[in-house]
Amino acid sequence: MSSPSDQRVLLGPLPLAAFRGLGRPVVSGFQRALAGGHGAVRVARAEALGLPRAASPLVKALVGWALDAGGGELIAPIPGLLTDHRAALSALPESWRVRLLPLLAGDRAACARAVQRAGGVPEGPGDDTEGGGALVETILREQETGARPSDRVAAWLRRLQEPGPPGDPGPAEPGGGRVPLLALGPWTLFEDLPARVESLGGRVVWDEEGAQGATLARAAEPAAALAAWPALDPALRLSGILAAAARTGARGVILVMEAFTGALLDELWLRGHLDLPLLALEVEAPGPLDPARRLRLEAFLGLVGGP
Amino acid sequence: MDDPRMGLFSTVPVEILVAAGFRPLDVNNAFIGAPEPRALLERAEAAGLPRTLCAWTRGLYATTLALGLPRIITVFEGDCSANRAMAELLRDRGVDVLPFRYPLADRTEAGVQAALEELARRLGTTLAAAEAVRADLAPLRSALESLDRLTWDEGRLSGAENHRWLVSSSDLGGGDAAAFLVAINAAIGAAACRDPAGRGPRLGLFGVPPALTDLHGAVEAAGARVIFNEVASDFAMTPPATDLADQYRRYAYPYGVEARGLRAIREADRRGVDAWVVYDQSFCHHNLERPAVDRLLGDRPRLHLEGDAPGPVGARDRIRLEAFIRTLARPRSRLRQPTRTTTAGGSPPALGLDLGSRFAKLAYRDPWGDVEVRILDSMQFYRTWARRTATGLALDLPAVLRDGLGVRPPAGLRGVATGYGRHLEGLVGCHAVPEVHAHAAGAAAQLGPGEFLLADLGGQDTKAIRVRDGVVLDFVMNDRCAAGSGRYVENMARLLEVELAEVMAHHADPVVLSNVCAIFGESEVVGLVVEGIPVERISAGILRSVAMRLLQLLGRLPAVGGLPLYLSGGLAASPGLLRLLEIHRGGDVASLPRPRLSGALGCLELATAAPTP
Repeated sequence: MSSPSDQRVLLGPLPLAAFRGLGRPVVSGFQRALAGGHGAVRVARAEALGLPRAASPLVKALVGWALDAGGGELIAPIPGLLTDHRAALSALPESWRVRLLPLLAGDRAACARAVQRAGGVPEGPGDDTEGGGALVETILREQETGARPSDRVAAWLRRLQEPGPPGDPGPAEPGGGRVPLLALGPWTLFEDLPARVESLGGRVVWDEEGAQGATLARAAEPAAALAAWPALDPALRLSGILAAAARTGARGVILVMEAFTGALLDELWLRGHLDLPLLALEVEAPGPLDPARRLRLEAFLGLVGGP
Repeated sequence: MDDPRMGLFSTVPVEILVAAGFRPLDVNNAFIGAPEPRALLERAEAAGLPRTLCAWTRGLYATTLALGLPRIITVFEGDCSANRAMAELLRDRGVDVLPFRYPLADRTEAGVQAALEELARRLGTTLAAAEAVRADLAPLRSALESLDRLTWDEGRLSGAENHRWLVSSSDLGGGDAAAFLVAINAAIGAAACRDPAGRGPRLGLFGVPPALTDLHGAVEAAGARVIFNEVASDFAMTPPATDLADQYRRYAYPYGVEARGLRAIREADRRGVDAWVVYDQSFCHHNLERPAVDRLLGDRPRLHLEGDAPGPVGARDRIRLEAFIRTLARPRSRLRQPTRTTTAGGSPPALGLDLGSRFAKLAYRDPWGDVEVRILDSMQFYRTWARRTATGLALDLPAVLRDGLGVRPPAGLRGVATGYGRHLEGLVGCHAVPEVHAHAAGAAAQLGPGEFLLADLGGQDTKAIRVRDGVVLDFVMNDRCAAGSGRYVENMARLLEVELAEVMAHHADPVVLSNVCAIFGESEVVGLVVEGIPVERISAGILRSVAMRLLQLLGRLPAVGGLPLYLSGGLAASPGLLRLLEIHRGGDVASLPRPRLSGALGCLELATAAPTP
């Protein structure tokens, strides 16, 4: 039987299947941090430890979760993870060890070395079933413990159940006459954003983080998939977004950015390259959209939903 | 090449740049040294960079464009998370961007060597050529080491001068290493003739180069000296190394807070650092390292100061610095016995004034030891009894006693003042004491000997103070935000159109307010009202928000979990807040017997040490 200190916690959408060596449990840290709608409580827990109010909400939720989760090994990709996220890990007690995973865009061998040094399996078998299976196990575990699966996990699962080549998250979800939208950034930090978009006549047809997670999870060769992970290279990220926009016929982009982090610059950068209306929302804490942001979402859907 | 300038966003192996024929220019130094750095920030904001980004980031962007730099080198691993997106923005504006990666996961000579070779290859030079540059720079590194020693060992060079020279080493003094060496040697020669600095606490400054442009001077004005500039001295890379791989492996900054902390402690031991000032840059990712910094810096006292845009240290932070440095001197303001409203006879008559942002709190001790107290509106107080003179703001203390308290002014009255207004107005005729000490003394006077935590929830700031037998052991204060203060709750009550007491009463089933900002928090509350959420739940949510901010502040004080917590200030009268703190903190939480008068009563306690009028 494994103890909490055996567990491996992956940060970012790293392929769970590649790190399932030695019979140790592997979980996805950010999903756990937000699971069950407890993100805000976990943020408060991290702030009571001394982490500042004006800082990344996602990593504070993670730290709050980790304080209760005992200990283990955190696997943090560099790049691919904000510096803010890595900085916050220094607040964790000694029961947690942080292992950096130095990835290099376009360099499959470097990524393979990094995965191997972290005790993972960089190549095969890694078939779709295993990648998807790990996610299903995550969901089942969360259901057993009474926590509902996060929207993001559910979205990944939906995509995994659909066919699609590696590097592509699968066909777009049917629009059903709704306004097709892209969602960029950690958009499920706003717990009710997907439902709000739907209620206003929109539909997220491509979710950047979900797509990245699905691509990595279904990859036959995790190292190769990691080398092509868009988070490693802004140019790769941009080309993926543009391709998704063209493929899905999206009429707008919702960009969610963690407040007080360097991700805030994404808005300015993306506006310069996207030929689509863009709604940028800063998120300061996990939870539902507040009235001011709801108002902006309504206005945005009104803008992109018109003739 | 037409323009050999290469902008640096962070310290990188300049020897390789020089070997490749570039002239390094640290854009940080150009920004902070610009005639109008705030104008550069405004340019960045006008270009769309958000205000809630670190000022250094905004400054780097605007300065790069203002200087017309053709290229920059930026650190993608080992520096700010904004660098990647910034690189894309600058590329879009025609700036050539070269990334550099420190081997964060492999801080060995081999790992560093590989990173350096990769950089040399990309710049079209060799590591051998860069090693030759390193050898040429050895006298410069030695001179920087001597200069540093003049500060910490001999006390002949100020902390500000030390900071300026060491920080400038990141680009070899603007790219001309020979001229830089001449200037340093001249500075060393001039400083060697000075008398050593006087005695006083020796401070280490931990953190990124401060945007508070006169921080070192403010420390000296408060009676201490900075003898160790942590990051600046790291930039200087002294003593000279055996090779570049060794030099950049020893460089701690990119490798995270653990590496920096270990180096800092080693240097602090060597240099005899008594205490730390930890500089936090607003909206910087390093702020997430606060718990680790506090752990790593160990038992030495420390004060966190936050800065945003370039500019001088504000009045409020000067008060904090002064209180901190006074704490290092450990004034023995021990209290004789618990006192309530009457002190032991024989004490001189004194008037204690706690001049808060909302209210002026008065405590008067008559010649027989009886104490009278009064709380007045600040505006009314200043208008009635204060007048501007050539030397500052004079308070008519006899009139305050006569008209404000209804007592005849005695002979030999001592006035002791504290509070937010003190530094701003430069009071005349009153002895000024730091707020933190006044509140601690006032609380101890009410509670008696022992150790406890005091949280003073004032009108516009919050202080958390660790007190033992009337002596301040440690303290922290909130930074630059009114959210969580008394005025925040007051504004919310006004918004909800209910009495303040109504808001302060509730704790059950609180809504979670997600906005950090007090102003946006108001919009959020309006939305909740529109949704039909009961006022009781919204009120509990407002108080929960205050409680969480306070717990976050307390979390910055090490090893205080088991101490009882006492509240003072207006919010201490809130039953809802007390209950929420009990729920979330656990342990003893209580209000002081006279929570709003702690500062004024503390002034009375400290009046004995005040100069005779």
